[in-house]
Amino acid sequence: MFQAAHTRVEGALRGFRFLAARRSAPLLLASLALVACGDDGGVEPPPLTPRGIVVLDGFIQPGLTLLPDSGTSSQRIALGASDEFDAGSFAVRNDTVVAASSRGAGDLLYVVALQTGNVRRVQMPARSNPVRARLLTGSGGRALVGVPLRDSASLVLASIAPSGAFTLERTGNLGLCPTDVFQSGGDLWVVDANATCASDYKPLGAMRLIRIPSGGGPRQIIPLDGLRGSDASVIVQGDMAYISAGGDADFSGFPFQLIASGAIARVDLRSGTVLGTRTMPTGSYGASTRLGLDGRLHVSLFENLNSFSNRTISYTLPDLTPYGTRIAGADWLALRDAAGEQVSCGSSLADGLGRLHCIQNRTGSATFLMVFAPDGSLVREVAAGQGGVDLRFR
Amino acid sequence: MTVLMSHRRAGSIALAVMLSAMALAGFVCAVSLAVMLSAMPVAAQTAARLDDFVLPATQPSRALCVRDAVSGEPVTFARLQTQDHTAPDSLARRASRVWAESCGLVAVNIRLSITRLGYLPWQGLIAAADDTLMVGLQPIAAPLAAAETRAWIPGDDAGGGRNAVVLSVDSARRLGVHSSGSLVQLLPYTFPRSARGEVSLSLRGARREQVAVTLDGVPLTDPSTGIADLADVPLAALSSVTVAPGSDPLGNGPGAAGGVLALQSGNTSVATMRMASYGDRSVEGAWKISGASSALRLTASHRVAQNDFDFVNASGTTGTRTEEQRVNNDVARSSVMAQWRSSHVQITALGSRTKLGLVGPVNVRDYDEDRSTTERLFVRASAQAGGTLLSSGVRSFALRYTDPSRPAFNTSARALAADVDARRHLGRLLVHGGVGTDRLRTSREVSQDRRRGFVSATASGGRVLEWTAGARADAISGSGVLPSFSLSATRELAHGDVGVRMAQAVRVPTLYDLYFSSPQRLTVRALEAERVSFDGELHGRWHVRSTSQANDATPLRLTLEGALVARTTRDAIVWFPGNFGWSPANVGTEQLRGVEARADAAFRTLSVKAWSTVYEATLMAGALRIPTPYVPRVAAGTTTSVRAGPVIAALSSRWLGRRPYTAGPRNPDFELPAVQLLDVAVSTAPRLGTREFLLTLGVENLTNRAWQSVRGFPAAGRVWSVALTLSP
Repeated sequence: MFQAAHTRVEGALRGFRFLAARRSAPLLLASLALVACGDDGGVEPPPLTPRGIVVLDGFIQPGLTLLPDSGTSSQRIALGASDEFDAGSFAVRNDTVVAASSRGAGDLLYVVALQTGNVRRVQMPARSNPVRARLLTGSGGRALVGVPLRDSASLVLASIAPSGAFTLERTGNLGLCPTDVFQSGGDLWVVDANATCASDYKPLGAMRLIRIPSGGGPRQIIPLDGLRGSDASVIVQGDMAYISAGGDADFSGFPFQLIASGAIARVDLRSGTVLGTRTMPTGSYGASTRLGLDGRLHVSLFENLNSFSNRTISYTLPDLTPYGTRIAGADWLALRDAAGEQVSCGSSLADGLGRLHCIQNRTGSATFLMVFAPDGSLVREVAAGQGGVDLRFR
Repeated sequence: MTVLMSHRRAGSIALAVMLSAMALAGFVCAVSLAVMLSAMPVAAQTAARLDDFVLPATQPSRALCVRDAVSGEPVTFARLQTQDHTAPDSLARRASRVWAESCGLVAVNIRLSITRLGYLPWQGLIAAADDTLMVGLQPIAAPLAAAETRAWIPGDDAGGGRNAVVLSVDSARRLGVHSSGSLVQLLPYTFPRSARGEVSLSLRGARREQVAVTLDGVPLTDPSTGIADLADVPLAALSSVTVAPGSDPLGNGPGAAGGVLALQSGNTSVATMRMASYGDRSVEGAWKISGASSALRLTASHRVAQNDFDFVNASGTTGTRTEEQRVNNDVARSSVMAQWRSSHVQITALGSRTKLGLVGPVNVRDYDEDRSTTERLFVRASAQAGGTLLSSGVRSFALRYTDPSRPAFNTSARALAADVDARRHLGRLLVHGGVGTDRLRTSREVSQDRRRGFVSATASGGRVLEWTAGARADAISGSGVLPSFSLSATRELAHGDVGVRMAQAVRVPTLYDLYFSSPQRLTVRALEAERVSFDGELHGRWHVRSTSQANDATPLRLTLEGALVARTTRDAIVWFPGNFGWSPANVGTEQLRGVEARADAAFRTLSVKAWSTVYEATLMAGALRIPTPYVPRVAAGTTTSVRAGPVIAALSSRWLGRRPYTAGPRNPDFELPAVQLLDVAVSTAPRLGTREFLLTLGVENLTNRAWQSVRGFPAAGRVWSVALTLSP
């Protein structure tokens, strides 16, 4: 969505417009880094340290910056022109990256092979407004990618043959604004943000989880009370799903008005019941979640709507209890630079050693990867491209 | 005004009424002042008519023409006044006269003063000679060069104390130009770009918001938005355009950090009809009504274009090149302009209304229904009271954006600016000061009001070494007091000149910076003004002209000129799309180093003009080294024309090197490829009595090259056009 604005400004004097800030800004904020690694919860024990780190440069020069676990070297894979890429999140599995561009950037699915740098774009239905792409489990040797389409309340399943040939299958009637998809128990599950994403992204009520049985039959709809916003994503661990919503705010005037903070719902997928909801700290906005190699859930959010300082809260699972060296009186981690000053960074993710990785955009949107020891002290800082919006481990 | 009054919404009507009232008030004031001022010299005119002192039957005389020293355009309604006691007794010692035309005969051996609204006064002795005395009046508003008197060199270029180039509209028409937007395509050193029918440009490696656009020395660029769409000005309203790269803090103040594109209004009647490919139709005309001591010139234009051209999409997802057609790319533009001028008063009013389809990038369908309407109003009144030039003006800019598929995103914004200024010579010093205010209101509860004022002093002098020096201080709410200065010197040589110019300039954050470029506005950062800490150029010009032939045809004329240029801008205001503040920021230091070169040759009926630029324009933000978007390292252009009897054939070529299109480090993956464009035009201008009919046939992009001036927005391929221009 922000790419749409970029295109207008770069393209023409009359390109500017005041988008409906009240509803689209939350979407933006959420899309900056909000993604769930539903596919990261494999059965094999995860390694303690990542093979490498992948930073998604979401704007200016969209691409992937690949960094090793140490040193200052990096590689880059360009994804394409900025008017055709605006993804705020991505997913990685087996060195395959998937991401999606919204209607403002061409309704595209991106599939990238990190080993070869090969980038493939797949056209989604025009003006369907994808929000993210998920790597699912295919069959018959075919890879499967799920792409929720917000404006058409549907889901595209892109099946990729070993030859690279794509076949697209579309499933409709998925609530009002589907924003994430995952597989569990052989069924397909879709999160519906229940917001008017086709127009002004206004939340109309609690979000919903929709179960699509693999063998057909009626769909099950599970209300997610306490989850509001225009975007939601899922992390699946075993039979448990952690669904996060960024919250709702009115950005149409100063000062900005917070309507609802972000929240995370814990859902038992076997029984289809909501076991509990963890609301983010009072006054905060957003809830961008990642599952670390340490088995904990790391949430990036804005401390408030004044300073927009990025904060990170780490939760143990499954009970969603705050964890780590925290700032006194708050849930968020105490991250300090070499001078002992507090650090604001986003897209946080920890490795198996408990080292928290996050990215920070500085002057000129120059992105830096920052790594903190479990005690919150800065142990690594390295340039990681420009316009970073999300971070993943390889 | 009429355009605004047709606005349906009550708020707009109210604003239109207010603007109308302001314009009317300004008009009444100016007219009153004119009447008052005109009454003063009447007695003198009655006592001493032109013939009495300028052309007595027994007195030797000499032809004299008054020209604009920068543009070379004729200056009408200049006031001629005797200055001393050397005139014969039969002449009135302080006689004066307003010339309705730019040329006439004057008595010799008298000291004459020539004044004209908007120009520095000229004084000199009319020596006896056979040739025509060409007097170049230096515009007050654009002190680009010192006033000078010299033998007139016919041609399009009449650059002054800087590497400036002038292109006359008349000559451009003969090369196939029939819009203000395409006019700048012929100018050297300019990099215009257009995505949806609008035209903005970069000069000397600057960002487009660092370029000021003026009409008769008055800024067209809205101080609130930093926007000036060249295409809004009817070509028929203009006589010439001057491109003056480099900062001009004295003449244009904040905003002219990269250069000035100065439009000069015309002085004749003209009518043009044009048809071109893709439903492009336009008609425009200018009508001049001359009185004894004043003239009214009315200009109107209307253009519609479907612009549904075919293009080759090489960036689709299929991996193959596909032929597609642009949709929602239409343009409907109407403009009216009225100018009333006398020797003491000048009033200009320009109104335009533009409706555009906001087609998106090639592979994005999201904007297939989006529309925009832009309305612009510009009213300016100037009057001369004694030795003081008073000016006041109002500028209004309104935009409505509609998205039929998502009405919730419909938006509108209106910017309004008002200015009053005065300038006067105090001895050798030209003192200029003024105050103004601008305001912005939008449908998204964004509003801002800003007041500003300035004072400047400029001095010039020298004979062998002509120099101009000046300083200016701007006080702008939110930005404090911002000083700037300029210093230039030019040394005349036997066959040319060399010069040097240095300046410091500022650009205050416009409301465009603060709001318009940040649709997803979360926070509005407090921005400092960006400062050009050094803007310099060292330039030289060498020309030779053969005068051995007795006839009028110039056997050889050759001009070579070049400049070494440099500019350093600190606290550059740049918006990095998608940054977390969603607002532009003072991000670092911009540096420009470059070379500009130009050659102009004419041999009998053949004319060749060529130019080239080499720029290294880089923003240094932290560890990033970012080339200025859309500025090629190397660019060049040529225009070749040949006359064969009544026919002129012209070939224009423009070559642009690779152009980065993002605010990121130089990366071939994010650059537009180099492109060469060829345009051809054939024209003939038969006369029927005193009327000239100029018929022009043109083909743009002769080689049908697929290219983009803005990433994602393909330009049309080969385009034919036919135009008929009538000059009564």
